[in-house]
Amino acid sequence: MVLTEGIAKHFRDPKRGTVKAVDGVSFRAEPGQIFGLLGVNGAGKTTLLRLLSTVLRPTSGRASVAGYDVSTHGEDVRRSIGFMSTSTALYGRLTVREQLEYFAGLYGLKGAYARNRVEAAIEKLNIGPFADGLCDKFSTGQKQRVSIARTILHDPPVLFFDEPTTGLDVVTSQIVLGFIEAERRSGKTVVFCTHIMSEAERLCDRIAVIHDGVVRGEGNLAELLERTQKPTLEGAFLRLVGAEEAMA
Amino acid sequence: MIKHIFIKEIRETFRDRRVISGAFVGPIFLMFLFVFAFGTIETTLKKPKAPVIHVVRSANEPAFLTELRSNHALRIQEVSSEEVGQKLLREGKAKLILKLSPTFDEDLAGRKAATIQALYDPGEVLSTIALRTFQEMVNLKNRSALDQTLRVAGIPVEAAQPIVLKTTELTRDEALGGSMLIGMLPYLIVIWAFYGGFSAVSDLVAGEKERTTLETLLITPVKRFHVAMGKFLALSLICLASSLSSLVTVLLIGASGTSLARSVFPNGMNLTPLAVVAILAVLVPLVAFFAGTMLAISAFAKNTREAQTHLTLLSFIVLVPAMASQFIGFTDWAKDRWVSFVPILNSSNAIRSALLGRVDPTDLAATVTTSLLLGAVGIFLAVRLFEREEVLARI
Repeated sequence: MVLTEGIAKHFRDPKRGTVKAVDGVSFRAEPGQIFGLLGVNGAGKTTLLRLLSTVLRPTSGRASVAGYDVSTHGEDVRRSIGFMSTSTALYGRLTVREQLEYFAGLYGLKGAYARNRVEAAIEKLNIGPFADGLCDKFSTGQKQRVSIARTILHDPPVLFFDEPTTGLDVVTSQIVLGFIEAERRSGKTVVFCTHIMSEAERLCDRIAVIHDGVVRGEGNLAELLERTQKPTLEGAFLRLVGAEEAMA
Repeated sequence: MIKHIFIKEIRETFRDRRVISGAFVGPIFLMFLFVFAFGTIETTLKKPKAPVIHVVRSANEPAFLTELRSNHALRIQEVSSEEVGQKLLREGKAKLILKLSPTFDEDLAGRKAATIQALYDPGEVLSTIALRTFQEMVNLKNRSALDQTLRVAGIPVEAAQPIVLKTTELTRDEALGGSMLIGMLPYLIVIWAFYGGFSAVSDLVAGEKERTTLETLLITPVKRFHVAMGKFLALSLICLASSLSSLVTVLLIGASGTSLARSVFPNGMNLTPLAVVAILAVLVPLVAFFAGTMLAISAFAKNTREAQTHLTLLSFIVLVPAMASQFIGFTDWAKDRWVSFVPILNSSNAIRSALLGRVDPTDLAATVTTSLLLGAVGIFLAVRLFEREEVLARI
């Protein structure tokens, strides 16, 4: 489970002063559920995921991941999550196998168990044919499959996906989305950041619309449509972020 | 965990052609080049060619000139006039122009001073050498004339030279003593300890930020201290290996027994195990200092370009004391205690002493302690930067 209570992250910028990248966000994502964070670029989605994955420390508020507080149990939190985004790249001069073995070691997997997990991930993502090739030479789609393999290597109970289909072709996007659905079925807690409405509609059990670091609305698709009196998620989103007036 | 990260960094770094070229091909190739260049200079100096001396033509050639022509230490060529000789000298085509007085033979026979006018260019080394060579011949001729005069007068020849100076060269068991490379080698060893890592470090942290692989690393349960130490140790190994590759290249050339090796190392290669231990003892904390500082800069920089700009500035700070070590042998400073406390210069000087087979435990301890302290500061800075989110997360 992922739980946030008024979590905030403020930066000091010499030109802009204090920037409230995330400002008092609260939500709850349950196991076996995909929780969507829907927002435009710069809305604060990635910062929120960085707070939840302990790359950044919150300025205020609380959050817990898989029962561990992000401020006090960083290592336990990181051990419990798989994180995949366009900003979690691969090492170009390592082969797929070397890469996965390296991350298995970083997640504390050892010996035969680590080797078995690596082979299982290679088989699951069907990356065996290029498992001994250097990652630098792969297509974007192949790299994304390796990234997924890295994400699930240690079988974490919580998965974070930050716009995982950005830059992918239709076929690879479908593979990624299918994988995320499969992880939900296996009981994982999934937090899914996107700005693509169709993906949110297809995948998310609950959606939080985030804008300027603040949650403007939260609920399942039907609840959001009802609250905004809009027939589509796109319309509901535009109303919640106050973009309707600007477009009129 | 540190070992796990270290092994990955080494594996990845050694697959980078830029690192192989910068850290290994560079020092090895340059060392070959230096040895070849020094060997050629050494051989040339040992077998000097007889200098060509231009003499202004006169109507009657003096007997002294005929005598000079038969001397193999000189080669005589004639010029038509003094003006032509001056022109040749200005153009660098002549080294020394001699003009014998028209009454040279008569003056010599009449026991008057026979004059030779010598025109040379003090700004040209070869011109000065030609003058000295000719001057020695004139001195010999004068000495011979004086001896003859003294003998005729019945005065012992030794009366004209009451004080005799006899010189004896001190023989010492110096490892690389007598080699022209001795001034250059410590400098090269020290700068490659820096430049070897230079090619790798910007990729180790700033490059990871740029490619966003650092974020992949930071979301694993690994402590940032372990990440910093794994990278630090990998960088230190590259710095050390690069530095040692230049030394090993020289030692291999020296041990090859070729004529080039004999000309560069006239006294042979007698590097003792103690000297090798002393060099390693100096190098290890030095590379820790370099690696820590470079890693801190790479962690601070937003991208590889910014890292390389800062590192280039740092390289000038490293170069100055390293270069000073080349000239320290010309002063008494090399033996002064304070040198052991000047970063980089102390290491270079200690390596120079070790190569000469002189290991002073007090100087060595001061040098190692200074580098260790600076190395600790470098590592501390790097680790602190790794623990600051605004440094690692600013992309």
